[in-house]
Amino acid sequence: MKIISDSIDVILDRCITDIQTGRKGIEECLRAYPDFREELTPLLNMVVNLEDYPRVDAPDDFRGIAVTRLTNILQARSVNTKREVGSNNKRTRNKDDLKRASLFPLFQSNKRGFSIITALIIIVLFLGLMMSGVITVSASALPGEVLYPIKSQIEKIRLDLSLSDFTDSQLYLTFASRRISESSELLELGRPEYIDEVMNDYSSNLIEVLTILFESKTLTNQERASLAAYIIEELIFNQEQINIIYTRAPQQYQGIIKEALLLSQYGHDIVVEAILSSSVDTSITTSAFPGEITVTPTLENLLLPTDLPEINLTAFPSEGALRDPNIRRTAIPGLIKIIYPDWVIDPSLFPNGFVWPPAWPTFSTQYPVWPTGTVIPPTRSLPSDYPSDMPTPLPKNPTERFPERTPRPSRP
Amino acid sequence: MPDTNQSEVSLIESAKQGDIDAFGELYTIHLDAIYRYIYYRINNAQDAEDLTEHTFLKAYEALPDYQQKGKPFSSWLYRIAHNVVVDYHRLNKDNIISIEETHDIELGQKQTSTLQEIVNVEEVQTLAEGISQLSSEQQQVIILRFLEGFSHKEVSQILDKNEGACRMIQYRALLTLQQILGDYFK
Repeated sequence: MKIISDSIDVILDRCITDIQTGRKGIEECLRAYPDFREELTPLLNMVVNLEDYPRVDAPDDFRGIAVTRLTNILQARSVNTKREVGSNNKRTRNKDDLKRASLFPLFQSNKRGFSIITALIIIVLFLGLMMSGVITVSASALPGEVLYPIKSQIEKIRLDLSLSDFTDSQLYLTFASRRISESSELLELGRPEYIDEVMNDYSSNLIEVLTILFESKTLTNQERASLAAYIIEELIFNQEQINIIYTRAPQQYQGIIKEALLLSQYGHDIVVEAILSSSVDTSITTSAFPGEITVTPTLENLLLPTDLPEINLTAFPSEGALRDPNIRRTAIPGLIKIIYPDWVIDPSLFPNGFVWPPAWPTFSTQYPVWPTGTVIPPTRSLPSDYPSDMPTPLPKNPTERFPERTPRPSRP
Repeated sequence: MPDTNQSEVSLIESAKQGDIDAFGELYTIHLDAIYRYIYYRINNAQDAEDLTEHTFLKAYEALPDYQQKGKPFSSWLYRIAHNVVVDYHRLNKDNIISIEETHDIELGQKQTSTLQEIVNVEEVQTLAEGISQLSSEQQQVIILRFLEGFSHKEVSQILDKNEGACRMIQYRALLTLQQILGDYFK
């Protein structure tokens, strides 16, 4: 016996190594460790049995196509990656261009700049006004009326009380819409002299919204995408209304109305432009097993609600998938092409256009697939209900549309 | 476990630069070993093919970060294969595959007798069934040490454990396997 103090795992390993290297046979090993003979015997026999086992290799039919398949997949992925990189560059360039082209005076939100005490005072004031019914009454006030300054102050308070840029943006959009309604009412009441003030305020609110959309550092991607969709929807509606106001307004007020209309149109266009010029993220993930293709675009890939994307996936089926009769095979050996041109988004799922699309598709297969491919956005087209009777056609260069505007001062 | 030789080093370097053909050659070199490792760990020939391919796809993606650091390339591949197998088990934990459901496997040694071939296939499937009942670490040690012939040092490199720990895992794995397959070997 060599080292009797060794534990069984050490002795076993020593014997295994001796047997594997041919220095000793099983019997010699057992003789060297008589105290462990009973315990070692079945284990060493097991080791010898294991090493004598028939060798398993990859099946010939798998081996025959394995390398070709793998290199095909890698080559396709490589092409796809290059395409993605290219489009990313394009996106960056376009965003920069957009920023340079922007005429909007982008002033920073002074959110979170007030103290807790101030906030408490505002809340108490707000609650007091609510209880007195002033808020309710003032909500329908129009410019020139006694309660209108209170309505304006309440809007400011609501903005100060909001805790995020996203809430701010929705408030600004709401207030912008209010200004249009007020303009309509003013015209109906024969008080067009306040149109200037109201339309200016509409434009200011719109500028705030666009500033938040493009400049906010606190918006999440999801919020930014939702906001973009909301802005597009709201501005289309705004433009219809402003068009009507424009045609009904006395001539001396048409200038300011037209400016608001063009600003609305410009806002709509730059949001659409930003969406469409952003790259479509073609990152397509697969689960390890079983196969699943998930098209995961960045939220910046949001598209116009009236358009449908085409998803063009080329998936490389696994061996298992090749045996799946539900997956079509093309003439290219080892490749399949899945095209989903008929992917239809149900508009009822997003009646307010808040989140669009509601979800990106996941295609499940019984077997793993290694897909590559692209999500092809539709070519840019304006929604069918886009106002066609604009007072002036849109100039191609947005910078020609608006003279420098005097920004509204930041909120105190 | 063979060290990463010079030609393999140059293939790895080329593959890291994006040379897909070079990676294809690496695939050819290690295909059988990785397939075998996965097959014994999941006991399903069909899925082993898919997971083998998946392992190499993952390896290609991770290749730019691969650094040899004195360890053979194969040990890196085994670690990726291990992760792929773990994912597979996690996703298929309710999917128990019996021996009867497993697909036919192909044996490396060409047999002269069909009867012998059937016997061998049955043996391999029985062993795979037995191994599949071991813990993940025990499976790795049994496959690498006895079916692939790696030394303790090499196994410990792949498992990223010290040799003492590997010896203990080996002892327990053989003990458990003996309890599972003891009657079959008699």
